Amino acid sequence: MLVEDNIDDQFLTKRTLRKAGINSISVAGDGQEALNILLTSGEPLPELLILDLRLPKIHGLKVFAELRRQERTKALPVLILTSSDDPEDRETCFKLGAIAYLIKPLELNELKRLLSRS
Amino acid sequence: MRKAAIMSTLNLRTKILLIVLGISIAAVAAMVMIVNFLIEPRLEEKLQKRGASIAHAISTQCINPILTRNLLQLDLFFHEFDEAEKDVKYLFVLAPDGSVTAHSFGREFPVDLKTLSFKLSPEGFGIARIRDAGRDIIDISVPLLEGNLGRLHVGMAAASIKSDVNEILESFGGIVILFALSSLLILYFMEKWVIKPILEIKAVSVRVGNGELGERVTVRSGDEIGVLADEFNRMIDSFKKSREVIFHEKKLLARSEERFRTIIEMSPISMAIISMDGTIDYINRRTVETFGYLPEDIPDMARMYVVAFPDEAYRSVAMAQYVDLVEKAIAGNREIERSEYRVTCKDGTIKTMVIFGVPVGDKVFLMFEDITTRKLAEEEIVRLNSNLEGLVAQRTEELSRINRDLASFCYAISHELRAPVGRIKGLSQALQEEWAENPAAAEYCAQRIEVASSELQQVINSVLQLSRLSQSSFVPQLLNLSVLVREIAGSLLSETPDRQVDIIIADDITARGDSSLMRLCLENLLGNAMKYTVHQPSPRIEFGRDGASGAFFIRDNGIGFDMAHADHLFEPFIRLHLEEEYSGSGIGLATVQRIIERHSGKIWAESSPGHGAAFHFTLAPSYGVIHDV
Repeated sequence: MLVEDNIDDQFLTKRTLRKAGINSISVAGDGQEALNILLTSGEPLPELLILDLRLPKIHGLKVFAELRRQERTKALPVLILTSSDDPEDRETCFKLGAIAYLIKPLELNELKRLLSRS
Repeated sequence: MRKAAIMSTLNLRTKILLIVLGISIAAVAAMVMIVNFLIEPRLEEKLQKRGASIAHAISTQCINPILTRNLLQLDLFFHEFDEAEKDVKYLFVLAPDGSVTAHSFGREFPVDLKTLSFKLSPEGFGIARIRDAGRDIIDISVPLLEGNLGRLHVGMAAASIKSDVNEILESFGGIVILFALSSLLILYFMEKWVIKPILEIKAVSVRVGNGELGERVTVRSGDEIGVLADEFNRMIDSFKKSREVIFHEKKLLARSEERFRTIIEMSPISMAIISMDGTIDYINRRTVETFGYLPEDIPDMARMYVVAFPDEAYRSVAMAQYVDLVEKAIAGNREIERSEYRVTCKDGTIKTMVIFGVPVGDKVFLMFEDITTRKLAEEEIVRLNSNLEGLVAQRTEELSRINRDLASFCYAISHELRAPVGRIKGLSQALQEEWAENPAAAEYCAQRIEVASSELQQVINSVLQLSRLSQSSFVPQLLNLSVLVREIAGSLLSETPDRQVDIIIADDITARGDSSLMRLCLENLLGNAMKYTVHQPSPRIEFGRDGASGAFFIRDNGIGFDMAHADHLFEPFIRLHLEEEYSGSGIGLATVQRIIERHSGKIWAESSPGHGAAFHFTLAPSYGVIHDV
């Protein structure tokens, strides 16, 4: 599942994912929507969550922290995909157990390397 | 005593006249007394004795004719004798039977002589005085032949005594006249030599006493009076000279006092002269300037204490201190020690003064030194020293906060720059890949590249604008915000000619601010209002000033926002709405906030979703604190 507000970024990330063979991609436009889908909609959890940080309504970091607090999403693999290279953000994300902290745009090689590793 | 008192008030001339007159009267009186009481009885006695001797002499010659009865002859004899002796008035013999034997009267004998009573003198003759009209006679009688023949009477003319007395008196009169003349002579010379000069000296001395120092006594003589006059003239001369000296010295003194007074009056130091009884004799110009009190405001120390030390507790402390120092100075004959007083001026300001001075005779000469500024500076130094550490800590904290802010701002900017750059990079790759097989997708990518590029441009422009804020000069001036808002609204509306927005602008709202910064600020706020009312069927934007708080506001009826996010409203690159829907750099409100802060003002927002938003801001009237951007 991809949490991204910008439509161009959504387009580009989905395109890269498809290239890597991932076709079933759900999208949330802001932090609130992401939490709704993952925690209360009752839909099955995605295999991977690709999370932007600067999101409208609820910031990505808050979304991440909330997911880690909830039993249901505690172990959900989260990949951070952002434009910000803030070391504080990076550290926080790794503490919360992010599998990677990547700067946009998502590179196909990078994605493939990560997928093969996990 | 009273007599002496009266005499002493009479003038000299009258006194001398009175004395001379008195002496003359006394002399005349004495002469009359002498004549009356000494000379006249003596003459009378002499006349009696002569009468007696005549009577004795004749009596012997009478006996025979009587015995012989030759009475006619006797009459004749008597008559002849009477004729011969001028002072003998009559002669007669009175017989024991009371008849007249013989007489010198001629035809008629005065009957009263027959009964004449007489007294006997020690020598044995009888004496009687006949005094009536036309007669003044001393009758001397002797017995004839033991009285057998009766008595012989001789009448002596007493009038002769009178004429003798008159003679003596006449001779005395001459003496009196002589005496009077000599008295007058003495008076004349006394007048000339003594009285007149003395009176002149007196008159001159009176005139000199009245200040006519040109007067001189004109007496010229070698005697004591002359010496007195000369000495008197000399005395006037030396008096005049010493008076001139005194006058000159007085003038010099007055001039030096005038100079002294001018020096004190013009002195740049506040000064006062105070009498021992507390009267404030004088305060100089500088004192009036320093304290504001005029001489009539503080006529004495009692009044001065009340106005200069209105606080009673401090007044008693200040009074005690001053009185103690003045007493010490007088006792030790030295200066009044310097000490500090907090003096309340006429306008109510309190000045710290050092008061010192010196007692001079029965006055106290005071000087006042204004150390208010120095005192404040000293207090400021003490305060600053004590605050310095705290200030350093505070500044360090501020600086590190600014550094942190700056760092997070840099990351925010880097994100904002990276986001479109990343998109452009991804889209460019996609464009390359889709170019040959899928031209429609490639065209989509190209369009999106353009959008991302203009986004990037907008971000760069905003960042540049924001960075210029801190560098631009800040020139506060009186601005008509109403006019400014009208201009901006006009240009915003002209950019979107298809929109109909109701813009209401209150008239004549003025404030002090920097013209270009305020324009930028209002452009952002109005731009936001325009942006967020885009979906409103009848958009309305208002600019005005709140009557109660005095804050300016820009209000719209657009989509508004949730107040839960109001905290992040002014942070850069925070968007409350989807970027696609409402385009913007994300730093507009951050810019607005910095501009308002630079004007020492505050900005806050009120809103609720769907009910529009209102941005309120204030501008401080002064710009003492200018924040770094």
